[in-house]
Amino acid sequence: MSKVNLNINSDDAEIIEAFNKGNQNAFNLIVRKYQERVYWVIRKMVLDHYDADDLTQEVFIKIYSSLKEFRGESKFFTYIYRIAINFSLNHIAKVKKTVHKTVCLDNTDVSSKDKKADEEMDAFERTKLLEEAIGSLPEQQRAVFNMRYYENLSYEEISVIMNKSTGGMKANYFHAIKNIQKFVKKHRLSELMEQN
Amino acid sequence: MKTKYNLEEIKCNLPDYISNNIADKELICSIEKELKTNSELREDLEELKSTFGFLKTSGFQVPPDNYFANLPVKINERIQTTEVDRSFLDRLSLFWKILIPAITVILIVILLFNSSKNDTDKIQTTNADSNKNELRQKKPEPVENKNNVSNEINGNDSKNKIPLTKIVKKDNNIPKTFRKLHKNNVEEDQNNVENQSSIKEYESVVIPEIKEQLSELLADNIEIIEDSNSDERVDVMYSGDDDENEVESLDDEFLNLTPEQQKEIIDNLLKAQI
Repeated sequence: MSKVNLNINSDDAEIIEAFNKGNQNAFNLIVRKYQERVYWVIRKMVLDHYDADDLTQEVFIKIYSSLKEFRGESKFFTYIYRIAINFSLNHIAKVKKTVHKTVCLDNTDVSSKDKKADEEMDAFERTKLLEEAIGSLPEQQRAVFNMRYYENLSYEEISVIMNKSTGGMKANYFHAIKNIQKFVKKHRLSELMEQN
Repeated sequence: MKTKYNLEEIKCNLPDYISNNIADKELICSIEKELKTNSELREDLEELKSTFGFLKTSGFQVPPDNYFANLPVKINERIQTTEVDRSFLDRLSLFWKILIPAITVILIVILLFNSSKNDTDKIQTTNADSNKNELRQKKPEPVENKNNVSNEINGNDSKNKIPLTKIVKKDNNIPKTFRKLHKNNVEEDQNNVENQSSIKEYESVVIPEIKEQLSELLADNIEIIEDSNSDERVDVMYSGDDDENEVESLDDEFLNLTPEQQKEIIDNLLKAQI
């Protein structure tokens, strides 16, 4: 019965219950429901698509193996988010990556470049600058900035995920934006100096 | 009018003020009041607004088109691979779960066997030592009473003390060399009765020493007999049937020596045995 009723819009608790009862399709639903969010959370942390792809798969393998331990004390996405953030932080600590490698991910970008070369180049430069700016942030500031700015999580949720105080998270967010601002300012100044 | 928020708290809330994410009206009022009076804060606000503008207009490069369509397939493949690896590890761990206790039990059995064997050896050694000590305790006092000593040697014993001749006769394992030595000494004593002064001197100096040495040898002899593992030593020290002829010739040689030389050899033999 539960197999018939389950779909991507089903409640998390129902899907998890079905999975714990041995319904393998339930896990596929979890993957389809959360894969994009998990990917982007990781991608904005590690900045590289291939690293993000690998980590996203690892996060779902972890969820698959530990889903029976999930007791529903927090929101399911918070639980997934915590795993994703921890995997990303571990990866960053391992790689000690400070400068992002820019990778051309999509061939369609190249064809569109021909039409509006200047605009596309400008967008490409902006993306590069943004990724470098985020990449320059300390790990914790980066995590808080991504969770607050891109995922719009409350400070309470962030503090649960990071296991830190709410006030600390607010300060981290403020300093993260200030650091991005400084990085962009410095970059633009150097560009202006190069043009002159 | 002072508010419950300090400048640092107001600064930290500026990003949320810009993006309209503050629900607390009192906090919003405090920020706006501070912005009216604090030019530095206004500058911060403007810079933050421009940064948010940059963030809004900038985005990340998107992944390939069918990336999210293929991702569940890749995840399932990896899960299957992981499960295969895990089942192999589980089987391996099952193997170790059996093997480790088995090895432990075998080791314990070996240790117990060895320790019991060592205990038996120790008991045997202790018994031998105690017998030896008992014999040594029975050993007569050296030259306290010259008459007693001479009586013992000549077989005219007192009630409590066993004559040395009897001790020698009782034990068939006493080497012939020493039996002959003793006999020789007794005969020498009898032949030289007339020379009382020399006999007395001999009795007082040489005989007690020989007697002491014989007692020790007897004690050692008992130890050696009790130790079943030291047959070879018994054979070497006390000459079995195979070496009898050779030992007899050695006996003869020994008897031809002077008492001082004999005593010296006995001393050396005793030292070597120790």
